[in-house]
Amino acid sequence: MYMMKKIRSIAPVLLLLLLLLGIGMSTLAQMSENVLRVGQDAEWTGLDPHVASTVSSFYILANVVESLTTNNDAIELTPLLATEWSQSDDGLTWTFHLREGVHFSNGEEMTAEHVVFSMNRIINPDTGSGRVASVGGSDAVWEAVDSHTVSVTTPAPNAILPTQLASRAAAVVHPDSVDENGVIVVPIGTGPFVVTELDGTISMTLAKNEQYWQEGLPLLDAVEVTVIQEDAAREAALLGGEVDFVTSVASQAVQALQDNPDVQMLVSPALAYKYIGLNLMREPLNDARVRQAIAYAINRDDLCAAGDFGLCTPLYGGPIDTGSPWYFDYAPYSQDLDKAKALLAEAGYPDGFEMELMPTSTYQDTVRQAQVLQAQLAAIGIQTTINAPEWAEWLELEGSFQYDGYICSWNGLVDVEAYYYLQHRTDEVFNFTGYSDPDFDALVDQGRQVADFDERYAIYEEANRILVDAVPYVYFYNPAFTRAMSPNVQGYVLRSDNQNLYMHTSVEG
Amino acid sequence: MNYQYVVQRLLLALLVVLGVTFVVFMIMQIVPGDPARVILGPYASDESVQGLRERLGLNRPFFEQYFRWLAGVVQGDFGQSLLSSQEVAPQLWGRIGPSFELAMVSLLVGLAVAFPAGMISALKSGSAIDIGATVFSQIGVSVPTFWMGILLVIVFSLNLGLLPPSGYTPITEDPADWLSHILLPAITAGFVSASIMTRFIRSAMLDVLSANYVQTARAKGLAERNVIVRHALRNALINIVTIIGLQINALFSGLVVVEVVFSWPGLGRLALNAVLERDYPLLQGTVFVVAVMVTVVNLFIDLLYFFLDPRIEYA
Amino acid sequence: MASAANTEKAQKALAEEQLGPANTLWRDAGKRLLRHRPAMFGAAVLTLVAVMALFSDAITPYDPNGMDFSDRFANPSAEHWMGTDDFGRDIFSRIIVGARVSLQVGIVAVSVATLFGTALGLAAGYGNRITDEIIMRAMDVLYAIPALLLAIAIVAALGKGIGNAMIAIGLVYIPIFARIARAAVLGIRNEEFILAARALGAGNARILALHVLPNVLSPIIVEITLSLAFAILAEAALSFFGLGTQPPDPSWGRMLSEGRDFFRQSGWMGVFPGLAILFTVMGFNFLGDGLRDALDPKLRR
Repeated sequence: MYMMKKIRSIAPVLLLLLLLLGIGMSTLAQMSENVLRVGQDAEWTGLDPHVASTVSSFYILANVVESLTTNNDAIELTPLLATEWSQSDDGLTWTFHLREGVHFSNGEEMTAEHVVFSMNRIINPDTGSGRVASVGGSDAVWEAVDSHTVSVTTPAPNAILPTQLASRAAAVVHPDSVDENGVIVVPIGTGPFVVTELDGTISMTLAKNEQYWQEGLPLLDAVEVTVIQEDAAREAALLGGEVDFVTSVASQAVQALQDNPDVQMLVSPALAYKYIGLNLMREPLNDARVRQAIAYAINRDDLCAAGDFGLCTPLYGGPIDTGSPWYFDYAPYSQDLDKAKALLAEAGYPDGFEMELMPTSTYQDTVRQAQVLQAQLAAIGIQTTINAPEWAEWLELEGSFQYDGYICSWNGLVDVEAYYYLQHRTDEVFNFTGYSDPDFDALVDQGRQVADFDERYAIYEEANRILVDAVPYVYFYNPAFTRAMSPNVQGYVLRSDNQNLYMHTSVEG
Repeated sequence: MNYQYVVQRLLLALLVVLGVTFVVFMIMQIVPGDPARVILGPYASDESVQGLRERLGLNRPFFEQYFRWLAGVVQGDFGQSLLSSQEVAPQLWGRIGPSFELAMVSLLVGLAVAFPAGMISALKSGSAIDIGATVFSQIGVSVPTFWMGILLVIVFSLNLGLLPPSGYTPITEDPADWLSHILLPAITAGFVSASIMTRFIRSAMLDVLSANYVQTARAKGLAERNVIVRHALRNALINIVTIIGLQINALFSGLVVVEVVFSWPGLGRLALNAVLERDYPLLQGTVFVVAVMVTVVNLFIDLLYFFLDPRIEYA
Repeated sequence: MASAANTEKAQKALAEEQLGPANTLWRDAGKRLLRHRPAMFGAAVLTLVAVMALFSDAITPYDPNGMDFSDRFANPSAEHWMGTDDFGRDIFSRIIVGARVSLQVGIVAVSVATLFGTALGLAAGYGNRITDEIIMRAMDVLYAIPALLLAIAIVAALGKGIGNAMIAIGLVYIPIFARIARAAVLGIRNEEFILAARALGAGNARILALHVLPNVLSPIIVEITLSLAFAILAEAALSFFGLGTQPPDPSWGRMLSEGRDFFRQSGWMGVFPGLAILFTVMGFNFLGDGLRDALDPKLRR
């Protein structure tokens, strides 16, 4: 009895709470019109463009800093901070002419000096940048020719430097960005937006850069970015009007959102691929026939269904999709269990063997793929165990060759070279499989020095064939990128290289 | 002597906090994973990893790293995050408020449910109400926090459109908006602790109700209500204080998940990401702050025992 | 005369001390437990779960890891009693197999926590002040670190796998048991029956085992039943970070974690493991309540 009375006495309090709630909801509706509210799927891991590596960092940085060259929405090389460029006859020196009248967000005009400073910062080993190769390599010499001309000289001819520079990772920043510890917390760039109201790694505002050199841009006054990691919560935030735009949706949710009239759902094929990297330093994976057997054993449609719910294009040969100018018509690995078993028997493993698959629990799609692989490889007698460490540990195991097969993806690859050179050339920095073939090396070295498309195509076609036959990577498929936004968001283009630009975006009242 | 006791406890509490930071620092040294690799991503060369390790000071000996950190803390400097290079201290101060608010509201939600439920089921032990309360309390502990949170988001945000699914507004800025944002996460965290507290309160009440002095009071012919209020409840308080103490710790722990699900800008989320990214300074700072908060609560509870229960001697 | 009466009393107490009221205590407790209906219900549920765990290989209608991509996210039907998951695997079969892992985790982890925690708590509560301070401050250190983070860090340090996950979960819960045991001991250490036993020359270990332990059992049993639930769920959280059960082997917690990604495609993926945990935990709790009521010396009528 006593208790019941007590309950009754709190009833008015509950009513009051509900009332307050109502007021809360109504205030939500009132929002400024020139602001895009973004729900980003992951926290940025630092905003130093020369060091950061995550997609989530570059979702922000692409709007803050700029590089000498860039790719347009159709992924063609176009000028950005450099207006034109030329190569010397001996192929060793590139000269870039800089755009006039470009100002950093602190008001200072961008000159050759700033470019040289930025490129040297990337090359300097103390910076710890992973992008040295894309600014000419550690022996490249960058020099200011005059206030708006820079040159770079490399020990060997490099035909594709302008293409390699087309990345926000090769950003031109103002020296004041760097603090006394040599660190960039927030870069001072020439981009359309400036980072303000930075709250750790969970929210920030990108304010319009009043100094921006492109007339009339950006259209927005500000972009408010909040990190919402949970897929369900991010989706709910969009549907509930808490945000106008989300940087990705779970692939299993795409269909439902496409059918929802209150949502604009964008899906684009991605310049990316998912794969398993095999450790060529270990038995029996050092035998090409064993690796080919694996490539024949897998069903890529099921992998795609498990990992990305059908939002993908299967890859039966090399990493490049039919839609690309760099597509090579060589696709031998349709699922063929008999062939796979025969190859295993030939290699001396008629009953299969045991190996470990290493996805990472941080990216659940890789764990799902591992489970499918496990079932598929069992069909040819390869018994697998799954070890799914979280990302930090995964990186260490991958980096020190402590795995049999790791499951991962490459993203944002534009030029053909990016698919082959750093991953597979002997002892190159991203070669984590231990693959080494002098013929392949010779081809990709040659490919760097040639500018003509047809000539390059022939070279890489041959390199691709060697690589596909050797199978250090078993390619699964090209995935898709996704964005979802409310219907009043205009002008956003979802690009196949996943570059996330808010410059042309606006929010209609 | 009382003051002496309090001062002594404070010093010991300080020792505990130091112990926590040291233990965490040590564990993180054993844990595989290198922050330099996390920063540089899957495709990092060994040279750039080494360069970055050098710059971040990760190549220094263990004790040097720890004592550098400690020396910084003494001067109020918590260092810089390895990943974002931002100062740790302002991030910490910004997170304490939201976490504390969420913990308190969750505790209130928990108590508001658990107190009546636990009392009634104890008083009517074996009845339908008792069984109902028991089943209810099981549901709370049988459902993982993330599951409960997502379920609430789907029902209350997506389907009913009543409450926002994520985000935070400072209470000083807009109290109503603050409340609308805090309700779902607080209910999520509160429900789990409500389940636990219901059981503890039931158990504690049962103990007290069967105790001699309560039986005596009943025998004296006191009204049941007076027996409960004057004798049973008061003596059950010491147990209930213990429970609240235990729950505050559990709440902070549960907040890790709740804050991630609801994108709440709190310490739990900060700590989780710091662990996963091996961001040592950020983790150390967060753990330090949480340890201080938990230790202060525990200290407070120990002192409450001391005043509530004269039988406990500390001499 | 007076002294003779006292001697007689003392002898009687001594006899009780030696033969122990314990024998009758446990016998009575057993009887009361059998009469306790919820407890018997709990025991029945747990027996069922244990049978599932022991004979899982024989009972499962399908291969628990067998995939079928043409039949994903199926609703419950005659063919698949609990539907299928995102790989088209039979959820019912996975629930049965998952029982083994989940029970193991719960029992091992909580045993670790109970044994070490209670022992430390008793020692702290009954021992001298320095022992108390050292033990309890060490517990405070462990306890001031959020449990999930501590478990993640411990497993990451020890190495992955279900065995280490059990140890980590157990370690994390030690301070809780220590605190509860200590608080209970402090509450009774100066009670008459303890003082009497000590006056009669009983050693500390004997007093702890015969007089203190039975009296602190009640809060500990409640905590055990609760912790079992938490251990099972903690395994879910660890699995989610890739530190618990390794795929494809199912545990209920792991199935729940996986299910959350597909909440809107198929709620069933989460409902059944949730129910499995619910019933098991409820079984433990009802049994725990029964035990508590049965063992509580104060409830003897």
